[in-house]
Amino acid sequence: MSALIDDKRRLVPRWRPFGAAVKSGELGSQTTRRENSASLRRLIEYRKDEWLKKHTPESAVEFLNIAIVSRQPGIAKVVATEILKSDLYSYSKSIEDAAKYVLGIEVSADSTSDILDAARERNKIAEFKRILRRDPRDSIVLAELALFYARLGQLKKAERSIHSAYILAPENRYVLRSFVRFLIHTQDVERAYAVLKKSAKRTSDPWIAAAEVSTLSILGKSPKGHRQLKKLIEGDYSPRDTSELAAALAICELNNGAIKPAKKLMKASLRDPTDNVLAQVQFLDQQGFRFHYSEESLTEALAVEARSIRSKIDSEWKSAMGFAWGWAEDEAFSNRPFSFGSYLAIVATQEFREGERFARQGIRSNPDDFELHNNLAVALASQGKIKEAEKTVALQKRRTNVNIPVLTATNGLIAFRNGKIRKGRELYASSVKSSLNTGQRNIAGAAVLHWAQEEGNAKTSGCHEFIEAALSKTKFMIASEYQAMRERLKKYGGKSPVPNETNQAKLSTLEETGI
Amino acid sequence: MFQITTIDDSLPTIFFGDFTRILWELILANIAEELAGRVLEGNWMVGPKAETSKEQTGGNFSIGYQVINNDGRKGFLKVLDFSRAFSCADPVEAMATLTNFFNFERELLTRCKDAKMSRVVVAIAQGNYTEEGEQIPVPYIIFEFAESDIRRESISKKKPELSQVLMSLRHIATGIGQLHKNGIAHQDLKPSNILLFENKGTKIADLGRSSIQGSHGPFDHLNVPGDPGYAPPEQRYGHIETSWGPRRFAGDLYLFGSLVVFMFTGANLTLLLEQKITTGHSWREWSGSWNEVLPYLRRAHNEVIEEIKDSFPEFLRDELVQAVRQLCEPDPNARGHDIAKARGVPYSMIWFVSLFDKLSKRAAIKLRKQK
Repeated sequence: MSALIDDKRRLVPRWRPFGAAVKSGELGSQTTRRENSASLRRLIEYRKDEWLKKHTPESAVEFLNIAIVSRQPGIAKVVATEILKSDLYSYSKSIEDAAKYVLGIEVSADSTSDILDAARERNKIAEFKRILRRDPRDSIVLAELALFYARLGQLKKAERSIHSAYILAPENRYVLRSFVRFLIHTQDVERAYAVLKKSAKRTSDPWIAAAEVSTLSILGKSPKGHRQLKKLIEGDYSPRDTSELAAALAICELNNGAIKPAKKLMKASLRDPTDNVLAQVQFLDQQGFRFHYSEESLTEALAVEARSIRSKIDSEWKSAMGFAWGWAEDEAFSNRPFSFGSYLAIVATQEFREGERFARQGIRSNPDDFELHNNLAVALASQGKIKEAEKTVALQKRRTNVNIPVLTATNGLIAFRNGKIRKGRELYASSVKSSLNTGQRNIAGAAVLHWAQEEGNAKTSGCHEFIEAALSKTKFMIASEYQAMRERLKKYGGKSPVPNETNQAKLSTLEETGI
Repeated sequence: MFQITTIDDSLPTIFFGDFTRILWELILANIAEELAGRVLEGNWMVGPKAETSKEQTGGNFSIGYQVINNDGRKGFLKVLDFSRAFSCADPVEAMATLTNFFNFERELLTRCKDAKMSRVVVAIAQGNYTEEGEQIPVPYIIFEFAESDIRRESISKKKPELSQVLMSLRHIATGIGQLHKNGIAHQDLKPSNILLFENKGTKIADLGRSSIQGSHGPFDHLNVPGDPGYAPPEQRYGHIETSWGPRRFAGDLYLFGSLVVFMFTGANLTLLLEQKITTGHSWREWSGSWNEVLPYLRRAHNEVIEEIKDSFPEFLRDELVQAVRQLCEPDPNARGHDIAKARGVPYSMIWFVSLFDKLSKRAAIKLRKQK
């Protein structure tokens, strides 16, 4: 049986390649565009006039140069076009690229594309190492190197790099938030909090303050200085800059049962939400908390997690899976997108090969993750790759973070697919019982549905009655993916197979579980 | 010693009566603008105006002519254009300021000549020309005549040999070293200020924006004393180092590194950097401190170097990339050759002179072997 999706999404900082972090709006400053000095204005006019009068290549290059350096590329569009069209003069590639920059023509490929390719990631690591050999003080590159190590599951190397970055630039927002995210990823939340506590910006930079509030929330603590933090939200920062802080505080209020202040803060957060906040809002929607946001914000390129959860809520499985791949590209170091994708593929769409792909990709960066290994075993067994599934399950026994009821149910599935139906039933029944004993009612319900599915697949005698009973006992499984599974189970029909001792689906076994 | 005055940026206002203004403009402008055909002291015949005769980088107004001596020597004549002062709110003050600028440059040139700087374009002659029947003299300087400059050469289809390019860089490094040794920071090193001479190699020109250690120059108060299109990052972000070395010499090192980049890519480093500096981190938008923006500048700087490294010839790539890194290091306090920094003279040019000398010879040997 596939492990359930986590029910504790936290608003922890994103950890992305630098270019993507910039695009997300995470790394700006309180921007007040400086005006040109009078001398710069005169120089720009002079360069423009000179080019208009002379049309020499020197004057063209100088005008292009000053337009770009003064951050007004728009004024040099005509000269840029002329440079690109010219065959009279031999402009260098760099000047042609500068002209393309002015005209908004993309010169190099986006560094965030196709990042799930391991070879490409290794190339990126090699490039970062090359840069660092020349300039070991580049804290941003060190943080990016750590990210790419984390994507490959090389956490010790990742830690060395991100720690060095932090030593070099402890107050840099990108470095600090990356370090905190890394520490949360490696379950070292206390240290993440200690690092944030040292920052001089924790009360003046909303992005750092947001990370601290979320980290405290993981530790089960409430942030201090609420009033000061709220002032930060109401201050001079843009709504995008304060979006995560407002949402983090809203979640604290929600946890304390203070719905009204939570709604107010969430409203502030959703004025110009980050993709992280949007994903959190979708997650809260699943928990029964609805907040109003502009549908348009979901169309932002980076809002892939939010869109995959939204599509799941709306039972739009194809797009949920597609966005899950986007999310996996965005947060390739995390187990969450892969867990989500493999789970949906197994439970909602039964695309077991896709489930296998998600699980395998996720295992690369999270080699010790139980959920991913379990989902891989389920996807393999469901495709008839029993030996591989058994091997995968056997390895789980050595792990410490194993969910026993889930693993037992997966063994039940393998037993069913191996033709050992009685053993399969025993294992499923055991899974249901132990889930209920440990208060995991949803896991018990999921185990029953998977069990019923296997009875149906094996066409056991009495399977229809069993499925009916299973559907009746799992009405509390209201999540969209289980609704999809329930609909599938309702369609099992046809002639009942001839009853015999081994294939008789026994309702009594189900009753005995106590569900 | 020199009065620090800037030309007012506001639009011209009526200061004199209109008649007086027009009269002054006519007298001064005509003389400066129409020197062609006149003979200056020392038998210098003034020829036509030079192609790039007027350069305006924020207050320095002059007109250029070609000149020829009756002994056959060619020269470049730079004449102070007083008429421009009349477009300012306070023409008298503006004229005084222009005179200050001009005198400052003349004094600097004298210093350079006295110090026998071989890689700096020095004055062959200087003086004041007074038109017959007129009272007001026009100050001028005559420089050695250059065939071209490296800005023009970079666009020419005929590319120089690699060893020549590297020898030019050696000459420029030598010139900067000569200036620094005499306590002068150039501050406006850019391709159009690097002149090429037929038999004398490459020289640095235009000291108009320089600073002299221990003295107050007319542009010392500016954040960006040179051309903003080429300026080092600390100047663009308004970060002013308190000590002279990191503020002035370090700026020259950056500009030299930028010239190295220009020689191989056709674009200066500042232009390339600005394209990589991400939104929100540019000098126009940044409201945080210099130390906070430095990691982003370093990232952009390394990205540029990674992108342009293939423009350097493969057999010299590592040394050239290393040199650019040391010269253009975003933090002015960390700029300089590694050996120079280790020896406590971070902005010394000796090791760069030696480096480009060595590289030039290696390129020449390689070329000979190929032939």
